[in-house]
Amino acid sequence: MKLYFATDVHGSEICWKKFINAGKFYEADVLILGGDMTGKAIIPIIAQGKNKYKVTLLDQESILDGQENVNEMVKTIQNRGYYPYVTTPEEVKEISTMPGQSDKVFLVQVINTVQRWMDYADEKLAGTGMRCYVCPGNDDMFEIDDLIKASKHIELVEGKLIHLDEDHEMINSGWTNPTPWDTHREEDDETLLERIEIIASQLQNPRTAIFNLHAPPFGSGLDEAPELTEDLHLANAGQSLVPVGSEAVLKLIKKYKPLLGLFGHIHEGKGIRKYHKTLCINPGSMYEQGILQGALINLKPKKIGTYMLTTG
Amino acid sequence: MGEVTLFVRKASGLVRSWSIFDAFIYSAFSINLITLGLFIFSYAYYFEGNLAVAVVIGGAFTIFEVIVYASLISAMPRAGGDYVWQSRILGRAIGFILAVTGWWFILWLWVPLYGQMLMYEVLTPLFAIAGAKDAALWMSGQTGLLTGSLILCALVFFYISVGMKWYARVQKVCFWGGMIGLLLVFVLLGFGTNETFIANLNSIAPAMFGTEQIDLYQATLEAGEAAGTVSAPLGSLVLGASMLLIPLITFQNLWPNWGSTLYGEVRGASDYKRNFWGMAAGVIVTAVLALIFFGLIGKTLGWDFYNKANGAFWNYTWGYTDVAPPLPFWPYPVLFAAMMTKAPFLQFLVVLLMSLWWFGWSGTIFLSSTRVIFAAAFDRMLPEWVSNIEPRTRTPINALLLMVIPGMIVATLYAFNIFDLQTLALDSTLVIAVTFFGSTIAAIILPWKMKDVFDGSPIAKFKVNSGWSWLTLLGYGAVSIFLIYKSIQYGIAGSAAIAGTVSMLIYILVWILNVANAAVLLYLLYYVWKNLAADKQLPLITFAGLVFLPFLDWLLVEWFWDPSYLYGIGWTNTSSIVFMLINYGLAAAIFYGFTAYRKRQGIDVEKVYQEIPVE
Repeated sequence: MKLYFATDVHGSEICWKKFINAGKFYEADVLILGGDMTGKAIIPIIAQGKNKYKVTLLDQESILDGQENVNEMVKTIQNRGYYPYVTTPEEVKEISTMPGQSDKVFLVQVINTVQRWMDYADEKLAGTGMRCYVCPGNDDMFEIDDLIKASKHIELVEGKLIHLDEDHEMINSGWTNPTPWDTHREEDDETLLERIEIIASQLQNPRTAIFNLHAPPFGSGLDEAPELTEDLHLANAGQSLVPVGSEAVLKLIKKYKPLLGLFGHIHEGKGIRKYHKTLCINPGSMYEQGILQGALINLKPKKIGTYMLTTG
Repeated sequence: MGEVTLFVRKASGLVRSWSIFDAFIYSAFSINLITLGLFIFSYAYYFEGNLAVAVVIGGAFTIFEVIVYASLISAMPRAGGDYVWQSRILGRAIGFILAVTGWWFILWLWVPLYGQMLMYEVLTPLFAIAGAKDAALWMSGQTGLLTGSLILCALVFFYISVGMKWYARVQKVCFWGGMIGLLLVFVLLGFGTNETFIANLNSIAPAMFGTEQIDLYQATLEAGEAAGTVSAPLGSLVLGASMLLIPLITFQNLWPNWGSTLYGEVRGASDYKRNFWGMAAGVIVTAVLALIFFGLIGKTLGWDFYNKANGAFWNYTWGYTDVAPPLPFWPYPVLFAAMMTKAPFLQFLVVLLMSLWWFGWSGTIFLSSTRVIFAAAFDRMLPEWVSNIEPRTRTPINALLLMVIPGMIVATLYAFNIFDLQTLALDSTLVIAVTFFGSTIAAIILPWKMKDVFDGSPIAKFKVNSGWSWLTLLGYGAVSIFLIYKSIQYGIAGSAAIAGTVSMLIYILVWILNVANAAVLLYLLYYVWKNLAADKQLPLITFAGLVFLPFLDWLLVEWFWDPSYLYGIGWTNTSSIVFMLINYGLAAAIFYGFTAYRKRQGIDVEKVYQEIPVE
């Protein structure tokens, strides 16, 4: 059985489409998305009158003339993982001054996007026989879960134990240990340990299992992120890297010794680490460039056949 | 309140920008004036040019390198640098071969060079000031150089086991300490006189190193004269001769990109500017400090004395003469500055503070190597075990051994000058310059080869106006034709120097490189011309690449053909060419060997960097 795993697409339209098409390209039987589907920013495209619009993408201001240019910019913004939002100067002012207003706009954008992604996946995966599992990550709002559940060809696997085949089970969670950003699905390591332990304890054969957990194990090298100052500036010009993974996940990997660990969360942490016979992978993420990093793993009944990290 | 152009929500990874000053520190360490700079400036005695002119012109071209790299980082951050940029844009084979040679294999040669600088700039002067003259002189000898390489390797293990978090802090302390040291050196040289220096040199050096009680200053001038020192005075322009110094001093100033920052999300053009200014400030400030240093050396030590002391030392060390120089130690300007005072404590303090330039810099380059080794292992182009981490110390022990063991073999050959390895110092620069050559080509074609990535990047709107675009392209074309002409001219003239079968084979090989180089230069001209005709304006990244690439190409033509035998690594030096062939051959063997091996295992590594088609 061949798995393709990717993670942290963060709203990038092109990365989602690549993910759905990856099964065919890599000849995979199962697709797994490790979490953090949703974007982090909204880019307002502000009407200026006379069919002109102003947009500032990546600190670069552009004046768009006509709907065709707007559509092109919408595509560029979506592929970069942001939400384009065609609006007026008055609404921009309202969103930026009224507390909670931007959260409401975000929610609408996130829901619309995830719904569009589910429709795309249902269309492309229909009749392929390919299975696709998605487990939202710490950055994902809870509201997207119902949209994923409603999909015909994608299965929401948060908190679930999945039987991939007769030899391999997979446990899943997108929850992480605390981050400096107080995100949607994060909790202290003790609680996280309990959360995952509940699922892991149901495994019939942990040694051939797959742990699909968003947070990488602490100190694995898959969790190295730039050190931050207290006010979230990059310390030492980003030269200084520190481990920020989960102690709970590390304990679970050491306790259950699964066959494979699939992680994400830390985009800079691309790599592979072995704990005894457990192969741990974080494919990293370059979603902003529309590049889908992933891992292709060929599973044998009791071992890993081959594996490869991809930059697709 | 300014106009709102972006809304962000609570999400991990949204960080604020880094300090430009911090970025400057790492860039300044990478083009380290004291370690790399003073070391290579000491080679300049047999050049007729003016070092100051070369530093300024070389620095100006390096600014275009800074634009190229800041742009690549902005377009593809977190990609891991040259390896992924080249693999993605130019293909896996080129990306792998150029990255592992430039970021890994050639660093084996840097091991003895770092070790040599440790001995010459740190331990020899410190032991001499402390009164241990025999130990001091031993450290500058062959066994001492080997010991320096061993100490370096031990330090690298230490740096990597403590991690970048702590090493970044160490570097900051070293920067400030080193700056205080440099200020002290400037003060000592600035307020001292040539008469005081001569008197102190003649009285202090015999006590420190056991030299004869003679007029060492005058004797050094005479020894340097006999060694063929021909350096131009600081005040003269001698543009043509000074240009020939540039391929020498790139040993020091070609690396401002080494400390660039690759992180940050939902950020834009402001990060490009931060990266640019961090690196550019490193180039500019280092060049200014070099000019001040030269001026003070000229004023107090005597520019002629400085160059002749270098000539006398190297001519003996490289075996061109059996007559030992009057000063039996490497002419370290910092030690000379320390001699402006007779207080041993102050002398020791000055050299100790200046040694922080070595300690703050020596870890960076090896940390980068382990990253490339890991990246290659993750791409299944090396065995899995090379990326193993020793669990107790969390040290990438095998990757380090892949650095240290070959590094020590090269260090041994270098220390005892087996196969003339001491002549290969500039190979350490050439091989990395070839890697940068690949990345610069990738940068030039990026806007069209990866249009989506470029158009969605913060640098998409940085363009040069149409007039300048065409002018730049025409300039590129003219310089390319000049370089092709020059390399043919050098090649034809070189035939007279063929000496035997090996020499003939190398001569043919360099001719093949000539032809390939011409093809690349002309193809790029055609490629950019075609796209400029359609787009009307050149993206800034392409513009900068079209300036920097011919500069790199010129360096390579001069290094490879070396018609005046200035750099010592050209085609007539069999050791140099064989050494580089081993490097590139090994990289190619690993690449093609592992590609075939993985295919047999059922892993289609061709797909590692292929873009997933979207239906």
